[in-house]
Amino acid sequence: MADYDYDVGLEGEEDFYPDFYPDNYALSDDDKLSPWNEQEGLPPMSLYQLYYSCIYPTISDGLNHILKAVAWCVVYRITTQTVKIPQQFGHIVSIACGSMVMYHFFGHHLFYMLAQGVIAYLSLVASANRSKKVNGWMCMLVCISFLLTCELFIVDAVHWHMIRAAQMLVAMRAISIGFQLDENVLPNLPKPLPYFGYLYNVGTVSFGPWIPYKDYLNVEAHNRCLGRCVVNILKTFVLSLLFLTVSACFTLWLIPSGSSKWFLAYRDAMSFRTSHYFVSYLSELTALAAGIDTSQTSLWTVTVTRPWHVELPRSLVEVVIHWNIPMHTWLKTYVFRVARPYGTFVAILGTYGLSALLHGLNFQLAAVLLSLGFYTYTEHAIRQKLASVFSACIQARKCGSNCKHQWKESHWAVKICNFCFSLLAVFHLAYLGLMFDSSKLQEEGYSWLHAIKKWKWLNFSSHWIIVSTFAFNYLI
Amino acid sequence: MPMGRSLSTIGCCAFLPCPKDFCQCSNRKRMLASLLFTLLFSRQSVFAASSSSSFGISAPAPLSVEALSLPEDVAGSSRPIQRNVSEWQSPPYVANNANVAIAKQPNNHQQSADLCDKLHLTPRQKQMCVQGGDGLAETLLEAIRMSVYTCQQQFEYERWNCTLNGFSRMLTLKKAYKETAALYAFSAAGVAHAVARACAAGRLRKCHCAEADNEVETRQTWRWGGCGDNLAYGRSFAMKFLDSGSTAKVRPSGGGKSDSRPSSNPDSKLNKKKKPKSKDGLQAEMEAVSRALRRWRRTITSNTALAHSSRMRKASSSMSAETGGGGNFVANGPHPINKSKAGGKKQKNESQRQRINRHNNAVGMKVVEQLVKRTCKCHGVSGSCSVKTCWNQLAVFSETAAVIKSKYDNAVQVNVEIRENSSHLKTESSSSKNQESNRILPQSRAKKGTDQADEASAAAALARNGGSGSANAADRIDRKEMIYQQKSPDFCVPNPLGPGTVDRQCLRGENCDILCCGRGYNVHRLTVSAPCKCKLVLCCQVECQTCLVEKTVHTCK
Repeated sequence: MADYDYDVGLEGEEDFYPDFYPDNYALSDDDKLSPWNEQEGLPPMSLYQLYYSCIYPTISDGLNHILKAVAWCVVYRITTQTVKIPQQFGHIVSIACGSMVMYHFFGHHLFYMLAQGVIAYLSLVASANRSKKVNGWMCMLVCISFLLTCELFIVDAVHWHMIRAAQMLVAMRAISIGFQLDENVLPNLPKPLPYFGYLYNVGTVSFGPWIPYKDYLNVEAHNRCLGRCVVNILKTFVLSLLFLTVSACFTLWLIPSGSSKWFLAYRDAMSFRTSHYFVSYLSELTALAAGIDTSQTSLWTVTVTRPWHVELPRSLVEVVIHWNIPMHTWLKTYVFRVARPYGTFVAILGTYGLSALLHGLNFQLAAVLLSLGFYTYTEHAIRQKLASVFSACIQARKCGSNCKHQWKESHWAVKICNFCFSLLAVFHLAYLGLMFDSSKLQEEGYSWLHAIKKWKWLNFSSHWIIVSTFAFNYLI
Repeated sequence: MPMGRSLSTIGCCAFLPCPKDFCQCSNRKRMLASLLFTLLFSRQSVFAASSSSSFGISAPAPLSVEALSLPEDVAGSSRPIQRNVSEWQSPPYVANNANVAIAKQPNNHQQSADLCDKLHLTPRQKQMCVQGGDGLAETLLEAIRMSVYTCQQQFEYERWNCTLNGFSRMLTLKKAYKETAALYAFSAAGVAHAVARACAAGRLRKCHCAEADNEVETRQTWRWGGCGDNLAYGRSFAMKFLDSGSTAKVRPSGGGKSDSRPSSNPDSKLNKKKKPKSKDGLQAEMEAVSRALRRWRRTITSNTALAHSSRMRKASSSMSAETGGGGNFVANGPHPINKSKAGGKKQKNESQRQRINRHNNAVGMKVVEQLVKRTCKCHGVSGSCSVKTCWNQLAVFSETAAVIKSKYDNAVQVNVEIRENSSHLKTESSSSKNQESNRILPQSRAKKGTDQADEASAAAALARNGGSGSANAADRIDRKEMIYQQKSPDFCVPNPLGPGTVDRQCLRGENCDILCCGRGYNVHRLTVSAPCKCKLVLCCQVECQTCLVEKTVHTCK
């Protein structure tokens, strides 16, 4: 065969169509804009398309997980709360069902959670008989060291990032038992069975919420008013699915990637927040299904988060409170109050610092949490000052019933002022939440570089604002 | 109908995965439902999003009307022309958006048929094109546009620049050069990519997420599946589509243009098929594709996971094993190379060159598949990642193109080996005089290869590559490698395959020497106007001034 074979008459040797291109096809100038090269997030699509490409798979897979978790909760509930059974048996069922749920979500990594519980228990036993009341602090120290050891030396980053929240929740439960011993809320250390039943209770083991030990023991007491329970379960179920789709699909859909950077920051932060609501409602759902009731009244509710207080916050302080109410209660009860004598600023920073430590050595979370500590402190201080200067209800929290200010909440100027503070809080939130985006790092935890890069992208603007607010507060 | 019932139906159809029969909503109802939801979420551009114009961003560029010289009534006067996403968008819905050019709400069928007529299709392909819905023809056009554009971009400074001139492309395609291989790989990748995206965007009637098989994901406990860009469908469609192009045998060849319409097709088999098939037949076939797909998809996940490891081959061979039983799918199997194993009969009609082309098609599609990016969203307490939702995303096509280009650079020349003892494999091709059976082997070992692995056809040799322990397995052609047969002609000078490199632009110091084939280059000084001193106005608008910039351009002598 000739090397340069120009024998290319139209009657080629092949009898097949070489091509499906149109005759005399040529590119036009419009084609050179290469629109197909833009492809991040979800491309603009109709609701119908969004449904098929995102909502449907997300929900069907979401259901798969939710239903499995809820099924075990129901199993627990039926076995322990329909007929009278020995208490010991109830705890065993609780541990068994909890382990099944853990196994579903974390596979064999549930071992670390079991180890955490055992180690915390040993520390509690060791410190229980001392005259000094150091159970809580001892347990906290042991738990945090165990968490850090796991993170640094034992578990790889990806899997640690998967289990660390559940691990933290186990630690929180154990630590709370320690502090309750110190405060004589609990007369003596619980026996192993109820202790582990509490730690690995099926309703709270995977996503929380943290519940006090007494609420766990009271589980059987609430098996009346089933109707309300079912209504609440359905409500949380629908809400969790709704927030799941908002987080995975709608945020990306509403704000396409071409938008300006502040919109993008808001989108990523919003996606993170709604994901958090999803998880929170899921935890409510499992807790309710397992028959847990943390409300004081007989309403049969477990409140973990209040989305509207976070999405349209009065202040960052409110955000922090309503973000994860059980967590907030825990920190307030066991850290803030203890540290309060050393001064508010120290107490606040200490609380956020400890919270960051519980989350592990995660620069990003630590940066966000410590920033939040500083933000809330500054915000609280300046609004307190302004409120007293103008005698108006513009503090970070709502003015209570014994409000002595001249201008009440209902006054239009106060409303406008509070609204402006709200917007500022939304801005700060977008800035802080921005880094929990859906980038590659989300599976193994975000590095400090990622955090700095993201903030630099927004020129550290929110930090500058808060620092100047702080300076302003200092001056007046 | 009582209001309550109809409203609930609306809710069902729009938001819930209801049983299909229940969801037989009228167009109007669906439209209403979307409107309702639209209002709820008050997304400004929803109208646009669901009608034609917004697709400009998501995928297909507005069709280039001139280039295709569409009939007036189809193209309308303004661009982008109407794309009907699917039937449920009824005219009043579209009319809400003043900016959308409303092509006469035409007979969709007619429109897509017209578009399909613009393409060179075999009857089988044409049938697929017309029946595949309104989106399909446009998707194919987009695939063409995409492949051609990115190909030219990649080959900007090569002697052969993916030219379209006149018959150049057609003629190149009939050869077996490296360039031919690149063209095939590009167009196959383009089709797979475009169809996958159109599928994900819901522009194709026949595919959507429901066809995705999430079994793999759900088995891995904390992984959540999604479908996003539905590549599995795109790939299998491309395979089927391109196969039906190349396997259409005996065709009056002269010109290949004028007589390309289906009516003049003498292929009795195809004509016979055509009548009873019509819509249902094709639907059945499409369903068969998706059925086979489901089986195939199980392996695709592992494929992408292993994309960069050397185990790729293993995965793909298991994949082909699985597809082997896929009913209708076998005939047009996803791996052309394997096909000869399954259907020996068909192989008869297949020339060596066609087989090479199909291999290169597969290479192109494989690249698309390898570059799939899995996008996930994590959920968990305080930013941890206890559960994930994922969807697959195709890489941008320019990335795909770059990989194909590198495959072109490393293409392997193969030789056709002629053996005389197996009479059952006579090909109809006349290119090799006494060709009876043939094997594609790397040139380097073409000679010593005669005495071994006699039973192996080219296809089997390729498929088994890396698998079983035949002696020279390492020498066999990788299914990831592009192959060609003939040495490329000299593209420096004008010839029927290309215009030569005279007057081509080059970069001095980088490629002028090679591109200009040693003839030297001319230097031009041009003054061009370009946007400059851009600044951001308000939040989101960039305003630029126009400056005159002096530019030096080098062109080959």
